[in-house]
Amino acid sequence: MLKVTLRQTKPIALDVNLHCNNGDILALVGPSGAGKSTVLRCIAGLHSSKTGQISCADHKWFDSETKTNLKPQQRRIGMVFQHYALFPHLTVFDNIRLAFSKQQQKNLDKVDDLLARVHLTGLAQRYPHQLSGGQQQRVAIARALAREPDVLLLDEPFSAVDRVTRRKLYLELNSLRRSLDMPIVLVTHDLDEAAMLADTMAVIHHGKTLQQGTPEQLMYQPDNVAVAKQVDVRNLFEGQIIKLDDRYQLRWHDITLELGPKEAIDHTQNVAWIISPAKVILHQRVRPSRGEQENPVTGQIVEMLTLRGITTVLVAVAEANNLVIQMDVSQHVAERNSLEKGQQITMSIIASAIHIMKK
Amino acid sequence: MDWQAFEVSLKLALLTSVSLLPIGLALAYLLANSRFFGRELLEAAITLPLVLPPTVLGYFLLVGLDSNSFFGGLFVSLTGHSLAFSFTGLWFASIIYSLPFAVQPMLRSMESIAPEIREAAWCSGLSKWKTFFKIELPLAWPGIVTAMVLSFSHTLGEFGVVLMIGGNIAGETRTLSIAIYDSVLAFETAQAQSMSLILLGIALVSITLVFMFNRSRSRLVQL
Amino acid sequence: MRFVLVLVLSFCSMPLLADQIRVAAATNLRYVLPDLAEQFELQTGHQIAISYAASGTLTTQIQHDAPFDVFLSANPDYIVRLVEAGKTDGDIIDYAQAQLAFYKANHSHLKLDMELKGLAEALNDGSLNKVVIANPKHAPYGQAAEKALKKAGIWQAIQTHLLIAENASQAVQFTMSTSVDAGFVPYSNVIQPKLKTRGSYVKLDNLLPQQAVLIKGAVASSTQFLEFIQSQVARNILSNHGFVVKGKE
Repeated sequence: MLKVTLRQTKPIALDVNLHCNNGDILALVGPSGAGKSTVLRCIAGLHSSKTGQISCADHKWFDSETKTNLKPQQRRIGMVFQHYALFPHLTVFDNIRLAFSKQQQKNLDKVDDLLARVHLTGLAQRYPHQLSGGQQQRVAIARALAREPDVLLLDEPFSAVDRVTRRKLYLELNSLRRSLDMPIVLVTHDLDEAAMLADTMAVIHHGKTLQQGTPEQLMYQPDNVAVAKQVDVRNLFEGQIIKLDDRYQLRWHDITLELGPKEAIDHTQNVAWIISPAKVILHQRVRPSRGEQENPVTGQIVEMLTLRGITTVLVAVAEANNLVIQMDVSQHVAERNSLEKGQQITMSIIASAIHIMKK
Repeated sequence: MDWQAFEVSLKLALLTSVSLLPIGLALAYLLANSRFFGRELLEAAITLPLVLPPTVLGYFLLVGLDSNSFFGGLFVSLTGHSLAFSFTGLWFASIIYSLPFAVQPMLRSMESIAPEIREAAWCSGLSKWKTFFKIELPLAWPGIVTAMVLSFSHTLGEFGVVLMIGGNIAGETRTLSIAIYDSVLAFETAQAQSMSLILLGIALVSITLVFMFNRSRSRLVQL
Repeated sequence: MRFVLVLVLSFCSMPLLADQIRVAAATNLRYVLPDLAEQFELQTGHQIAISYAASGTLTTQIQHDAPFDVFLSANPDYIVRLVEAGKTDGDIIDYAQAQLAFYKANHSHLKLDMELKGLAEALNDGSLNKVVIANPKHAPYGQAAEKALKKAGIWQAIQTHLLIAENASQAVQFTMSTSVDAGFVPYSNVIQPKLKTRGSYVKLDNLLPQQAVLIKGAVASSTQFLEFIQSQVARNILSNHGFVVKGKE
């Protein structure tokens, strides 16, 4: 279990609160310069925050109150750098062996084990410049694991690799982590990557952790607008809450949306709200459904984008001041309904999926 | 051909370049890896001998090595010998005079090592010392070799400073460059020519070797 | 009225008629030559431009056609060289003799005497530090010093204590170092107030011939300068600066 709290104002503002369980992948996301790498470097011991605490597996690595601050060499960490930082003058074998402790040095079979784990058997005598990007990546991971670390830190490890290789590496990391019983912290600016790999995700912006939760929580139930913007929420709007006796409604310009029974909405009248494009349902001409009674909204298609079988339809809603709402339908549904630019369509906004946030 | 002067020159050049190995490494490491107040000033001070005329250096050394100066007096009290007009005095002067030729190539070499590589070594459990010897030194090697050869050649060709503070003592401070100068002034053209050609040859060969070494090395190591 | 006009015109034309004579001078003339030049300019209106350097250096330059009009050498050998190379015009003029001094700065405890007995003593009892002479290979004061040391019979013994300066001026400079007990330097230098107060000296009886010669292609007025340095006025100035001249013992 890794626990991190950091607070400082200079030279980079930090206000961080994180935790990660053994066997979980924690993804740190946020824009460039948000401080994600700084947090990682603090965990590694390459940078010290003014105040805070870092503990891992019950070892106190950093505590500003007791003035504890272990050097990277004293912390059992495995770090994979963005450009791998392999030692160019050493073979793959020696790169990994250098990370062994004195006792381990005697057991050289371990190197072969590690290479096998990252699927690099047979490349032990090559030099880094003779390897492909993906292979170098794997050597970096093997070297990080050589120390039998308490935590694995990955700093944008896949950003320098092409897409095809990246997908392979995702799968490998996934299978690898099952055999590793340590927290894994992954810094990335790619939200899809985070959504795919992470068990828990934290959004960092201007050095502050805005929210930590599962990818689903962050993307569909962000705490506030700041988080919503960071996770690239696509339908973000403003509205007013109307309280009726037994239920709530949401006023969106000239449209009233039913929210259904909610335990308590103690937000002020003016709120922000989001709806996932997957929860905006097309009223199909070919196959009408019961759900068409729920929050019907009409609009005109202004743009359509298809990516890997999903068509995102951008619809301008006249009654909502021509704001554009995004709807995802499968490609064959779009084709079956002959959707095209300029068409008038009707959609249903699923009440239970509307998420309300403070403005 | 003044073989004794040749010997003095060789001895001086070898001793100076060997002394500059640890001194240059320490300074280069400090400048490459630390951020401290006055860092640029230190680097400028080290580079001074490159831009100052030998007469300025010679003047300060003459004053500084004299037995009634702080440094000169200290030396006398420690060893009983005077530093002025001695081979040891020349050795000290050469270290200062050739310092930038040693530090600059080493510094550039060390700066070209990505900081992540050092950090990766630390995260892999290597102490700062081990990181230096196993990672940084091997990677900075071409710069170090260049530094050694350049400081050797530069010391071999030293003239202005030696003229000002050496005293032209046979076997001690009469270097080959001084012998050449004396021969020219005494119109001994044959002597002057043969000694000049030897110095020219050594300089040309050593610098060519450095370039050849660097070119082959850079093909091996690609960061 | 016409007379005034002529006078004014002749004053104006005097600078036009005046030449600039370029003199190559050995460094031991550094203190006496400005005084000589001043007198010469007052007398004739011609100006002197002086370049000081070691006699050997100047010889090489003149051999390569450096634009000098007159060469004042401290070493007769160099003038011979130039004559043989055909770079000179007219006769060689012996205009003075320079003298050698044995000088020590105030920090030194060496005993100075004309026979160099004090020096020999210090040499024998091991208390001698360094002694500086100009390079005997090419500097006339160095050659004179070598003669003096050989005459005193200590030339071989003093070898390990010898500092060899590039020229007579550097020899003077080296005597200021606390590692140097004494030096053989131009007499004309040590009688200057600056050096007088910083040390003491004895005059040795070595005489170094100072010679002048015209360089081929010199401006016509250069002969006037050669005449001048043999004149009584010049002799007085030279004598005051420590040189030995004819008619003055």
